[in-house]
Amino acid sequence: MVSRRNFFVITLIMLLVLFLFQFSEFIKDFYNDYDTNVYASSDRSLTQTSVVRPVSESDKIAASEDGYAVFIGNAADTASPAKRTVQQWCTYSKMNMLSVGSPEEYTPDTKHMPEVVFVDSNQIDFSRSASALSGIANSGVTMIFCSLPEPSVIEASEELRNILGISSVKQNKAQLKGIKLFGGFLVGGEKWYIANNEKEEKYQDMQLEVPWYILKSGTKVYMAGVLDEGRYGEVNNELQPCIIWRYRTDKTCVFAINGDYGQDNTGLGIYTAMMYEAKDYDIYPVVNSQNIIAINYPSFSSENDEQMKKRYSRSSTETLRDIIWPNLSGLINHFNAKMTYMVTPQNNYQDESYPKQEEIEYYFKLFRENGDEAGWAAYNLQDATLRQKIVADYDTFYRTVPNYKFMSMYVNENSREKTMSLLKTALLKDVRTVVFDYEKDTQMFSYLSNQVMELRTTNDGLDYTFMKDFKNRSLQTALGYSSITLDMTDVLFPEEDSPEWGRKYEDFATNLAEYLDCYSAFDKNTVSETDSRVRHFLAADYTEKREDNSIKVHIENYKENVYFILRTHGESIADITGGSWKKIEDDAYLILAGDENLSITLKPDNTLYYYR
Amino acid sequence: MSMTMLTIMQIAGIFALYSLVTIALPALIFHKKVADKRPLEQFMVYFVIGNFFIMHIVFLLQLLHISNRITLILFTVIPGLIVYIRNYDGNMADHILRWLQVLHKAVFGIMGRKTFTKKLIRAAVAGLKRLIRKFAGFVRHNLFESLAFVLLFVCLLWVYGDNYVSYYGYSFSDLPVHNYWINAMCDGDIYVAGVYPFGFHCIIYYFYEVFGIDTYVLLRVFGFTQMIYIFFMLLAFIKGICKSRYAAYAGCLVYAGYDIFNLECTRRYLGTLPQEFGMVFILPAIYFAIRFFETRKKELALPEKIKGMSDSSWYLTGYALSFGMTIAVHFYDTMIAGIFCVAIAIGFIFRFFNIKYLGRILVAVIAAVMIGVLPMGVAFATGTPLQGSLNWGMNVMQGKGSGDSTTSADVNSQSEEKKTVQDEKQTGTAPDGSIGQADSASTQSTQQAAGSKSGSSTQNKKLSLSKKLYGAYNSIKAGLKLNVLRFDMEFFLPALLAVVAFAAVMGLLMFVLKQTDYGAILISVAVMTLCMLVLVSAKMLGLPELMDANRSRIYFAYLLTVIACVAVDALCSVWFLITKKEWIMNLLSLAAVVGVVIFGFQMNLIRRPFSTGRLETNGAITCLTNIIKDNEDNTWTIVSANDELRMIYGHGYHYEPITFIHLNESKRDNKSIYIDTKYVYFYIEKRPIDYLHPYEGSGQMVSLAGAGKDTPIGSGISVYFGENRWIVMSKMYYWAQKFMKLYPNEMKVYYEDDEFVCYRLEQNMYSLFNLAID
Repeated sequence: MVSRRNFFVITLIMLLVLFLFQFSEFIKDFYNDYDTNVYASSDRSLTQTSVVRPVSESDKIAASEDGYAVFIGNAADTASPAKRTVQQWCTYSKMNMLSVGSPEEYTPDTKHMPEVVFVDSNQIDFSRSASALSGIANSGVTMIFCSLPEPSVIEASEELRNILGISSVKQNKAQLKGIKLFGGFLVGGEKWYIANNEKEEKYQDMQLEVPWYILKSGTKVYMAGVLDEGRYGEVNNELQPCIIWRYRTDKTCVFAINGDYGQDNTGLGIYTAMMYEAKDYDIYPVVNSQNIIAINYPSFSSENDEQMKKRYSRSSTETLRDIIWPNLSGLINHFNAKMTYMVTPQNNYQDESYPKQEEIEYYFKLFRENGDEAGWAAYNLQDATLRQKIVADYDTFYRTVPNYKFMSMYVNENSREKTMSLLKTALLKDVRTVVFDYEKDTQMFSYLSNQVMELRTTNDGLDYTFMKDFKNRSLQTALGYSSITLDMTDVLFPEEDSPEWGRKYEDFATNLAEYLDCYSAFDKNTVSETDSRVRHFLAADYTEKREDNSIKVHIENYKENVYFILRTHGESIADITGGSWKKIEDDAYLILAGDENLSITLKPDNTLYYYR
Repeated sequence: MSMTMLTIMQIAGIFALYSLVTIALPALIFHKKVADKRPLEQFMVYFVIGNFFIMHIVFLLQLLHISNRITLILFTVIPGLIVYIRNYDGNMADHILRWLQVLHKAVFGIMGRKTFTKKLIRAAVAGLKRLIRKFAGFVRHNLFESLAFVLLFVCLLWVYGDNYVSYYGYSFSDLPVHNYWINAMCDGDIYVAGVYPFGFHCIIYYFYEVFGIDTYVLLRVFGFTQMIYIFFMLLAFIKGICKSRYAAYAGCLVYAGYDIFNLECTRRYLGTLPQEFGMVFILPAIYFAIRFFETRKKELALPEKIKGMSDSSWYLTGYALSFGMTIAVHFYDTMIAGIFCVAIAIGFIFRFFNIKYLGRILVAVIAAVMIGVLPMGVAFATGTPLQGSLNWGMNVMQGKGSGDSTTSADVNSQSEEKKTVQDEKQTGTAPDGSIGQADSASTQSTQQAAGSKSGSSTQNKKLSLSKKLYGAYNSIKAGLKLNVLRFDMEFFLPALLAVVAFAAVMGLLMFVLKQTDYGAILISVAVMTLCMLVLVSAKMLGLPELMDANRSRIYFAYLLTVIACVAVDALCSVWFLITKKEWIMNLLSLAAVVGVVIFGFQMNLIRRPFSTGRLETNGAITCLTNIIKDNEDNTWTIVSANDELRMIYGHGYHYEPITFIHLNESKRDNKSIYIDTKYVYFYIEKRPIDYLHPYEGSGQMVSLAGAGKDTPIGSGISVYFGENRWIVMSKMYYWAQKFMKLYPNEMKVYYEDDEFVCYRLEQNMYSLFNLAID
């Protein structure tokens, strides 16, 4: 028999336990103001007008003391892909840019030498211009060949070969098995783009047919092809076809890209890395933001239940909540990241299934707990117009989370005008960031309007290829930025042969690791946070100077945190004032400028253990 | 940490380890067996056993090709433990069981970790306290002797220590060869360059393998430990044969601290060289031989036959081991030990030919020779040829060879080795490769003296015996002046002969006074001194030169200390025999020590620290030490001339600059030089050192003029001699400057001082740089 006294004590303890558990949950729930967006910034000071734009007029460049780049190969009417890339690079590097049509039109200003001369080989007649190029190269300026002319042109011109450090043309076209990207060039280290098995074959989309040049001594190779041994026999590493290299003599420092890698946004990081290689250190501003965006997830109405039950033995909402959410949130936690969910309350606006309030509340609470953000996805599968969708969604959100300001939205169409008209609606009036899909020759960041920023995603999380990996490394090097999407439409409304979520999740997790693992030093943010970083990045200008071991950086238009990447050759940071730093990898550091003046003291990596 | 501090720590560490292995461990095992012996005798016993054991364990394992760290440790520990357990007086099983119980408790958590640690510390502290108490008691009872000992030690530190901490590189060109041979032992090839006395190499190899100390570090600094033990052994020996307490200190202080001998008599103490290492086994052999004669007599006088091994047999065993080790280390040491043995045979002639002594002696000598020769004999019999220097040594003994050694051979090739020896002969440098000018000068002078001697030899036939003797006297005197003495001392030879005569007379007197053993020792030492005088003057006297005078003078100076001490001791002993008071004898010998010190200071005879030339800059060794510490093994290459070739064994790779320059200057199209390691270090002497061969431009900096000269032709070490080195270094320097312009971020200065610069090139292993640039 239990005595009354014991019975009382047991009951009391049980009540206490119940209280402790319930109380914490209650408090968590009570204080979860899920219907507000914590990332909604009230700061409206950085707008389109704040962007530092490169000067392109020659007289202004001559008058200014700022560094500038020269682009040779300026086509008369339209900008070539290379020029567009270089322009974009100059914007992000805060460098003025002078464009000239041909080498003959440009004479280096010995009093104010450019930082770099870009040469768009596609726009130059080398039979006439080789001597002029040679003269520019001998002036001591760093030259970057965004692409190379045809092998026959190179073979015919000894002068051109001497500029490029090419000893001879071995073959006009060599078939590669793969490509090796060597460490120390792009941030993220070494990567071999060689398919070793059938699974990897589907990743191979690098440019595998390239001219084969034998290089002179004095060259350093950053990316090289790997020949098929069965076809070419055993070829020494040093004689394999080279893709990116540097050739240096007493007077010249020339970089060459044997392929199309410098013709689009992939070139941004390559040019940045080349500038680093040309100097004894390089410091440049970056965004420092990594996004992961889930598109069309979650959905709050129970749609397509029949197919979902067939695939997952659950209704649509149950599948999203019980299978997909734990997977996704666990994965995002694993990467210490934050997710931006571009939600769509419902996908079919013609049926009788409406968004459920409890689902919306449930997810928005989870977003808040995890530090995630909700945005709005502007596409639907059915034939409702966007206008109808906006009205319906506004109604839904107004009823459930009336105070939640949507600061970001995702648009799957590249129509700026249409997007602009959407932004005037009540639902989207607070939107400051519009996310578009990646396009290789469109700027990564730009303003849609004075207030609204346009961000480009960088990679589809379900689609990994070698070229996309290379592009990711390049963009990370140049901008410290990536934006990886996970489009859930095919999960919610799968085609017959579409893989199930488990397979997709596996692919997504693997690809995410490929894209992000080397860049753990960069911050993981939501889209709104990234927007803020990009605005500061575009608005800030800087000057830097090295005195002995100290690098002094002065930031103009400094508002708040501006990030830089410092890359050195065998030096590390001893001390920093006016900011803080994190190591990305050997010789690469992420620096946060907490003040408009930053001072970085360097020390050699290899200090002697024993000295005389 | 500074290299000087590191070197001091290395010296101290190696001295401690060597003492631990060769003194402390044998002492732990055998201390009860020799408890009734004098401390100096205990020291000799431990030292001989320790070295013999290590040397022959390595020999054995090498010949079986199973030599590595594990086998060496096992073969050291297991026999040691077996002997220790057998010699243990108490109940060893109980003792082990007690400790096993403690261990069991600790392992199974019955005893806490803290308690276990405390127990261990307490046991260690108790042992240490016991040791300190014993040591303090020893010092208290031997205060003056301890002070004299400290004085001698400080003197040695002062005179010889400076060179070790001031010059980090090898000072003798033999060392890369020895380094190479020891490296080959790591690959199980003990006779890589032919049959050679490998005792010294076995010891160095043992410390490399067991304790993981790099061979190049051992060869740099082990010489200090070696030198200390040479002096300790001299001191112990003299104390062992003398009656007075302090006479030995007086002699050793003069030898160590007086600046009266030619620097070449002691210069080799600044290096880690086999001949000098072998010197430590000469005197124990002699001491054990003397003790045999003394003890055997007493044993024969006993009415009953001794059961088991008698003391005299043990002494004879000690003699055989020591003598065998001189063979195993260096034949010159054997020759000196042999000469001293002959002298003892003469001193103890009244016993030597007695069958009760002679039979045992013959067995011991045969055993000693077998011990020393057998490992080499086995190798020779199985087809391994003799190493070049052995042939040379034999030729010298047969009067066919010159006075130069072949051991300063080129480390790169056997053929080059011969060329080097020829070069040395032509230029008259020191036979050991040391670059002392005094040495070459003295050699030339010696040869001149010998020439004048031979020129007048026909006339001598007609001269009377007294004139012949007078001529010989003058020749010896001139030879001593040139080879042995630091400055002209007219009285030296007469004084030496007087001391020898005094010792001999005193020896005879001791026979009369029934101090037979002591008398025999005096006579033996006197005879030995005369023999050494003849040996060092053999060339002067027109006798076959058994040993190059450059080497024999080292032994001569060393053993002069013995006769000097013995003479002082004999003088003190007379007073003892007259007064029968030991304290008077000791007081007199102490007065001799004090007198030596005061006289030295008053006459300004105190020796300053001295140094020998160097074959490598300090910067190069500093760099090498850093490179080994900085990088993973086998990820780097050093391009250098040239000692690093052997020093970096097991750590990295080496590339010859001359090969580099030849390839770079090649007229071929598409010439290329690839060095396939991640890091390449270029060693360049901005002020090239004189590697054995000074030339008229010695000491000049690298220059464009040097770089513009024709590249020396050939390979091996000759291309780094004299002016060639300057040309090679100049070319390398300007190549490096040019290359650094092309690869400013990849090639950087790793280390630089006034005379040396090291560049470090970092490469991508999958796309190496073509180092061939115009």
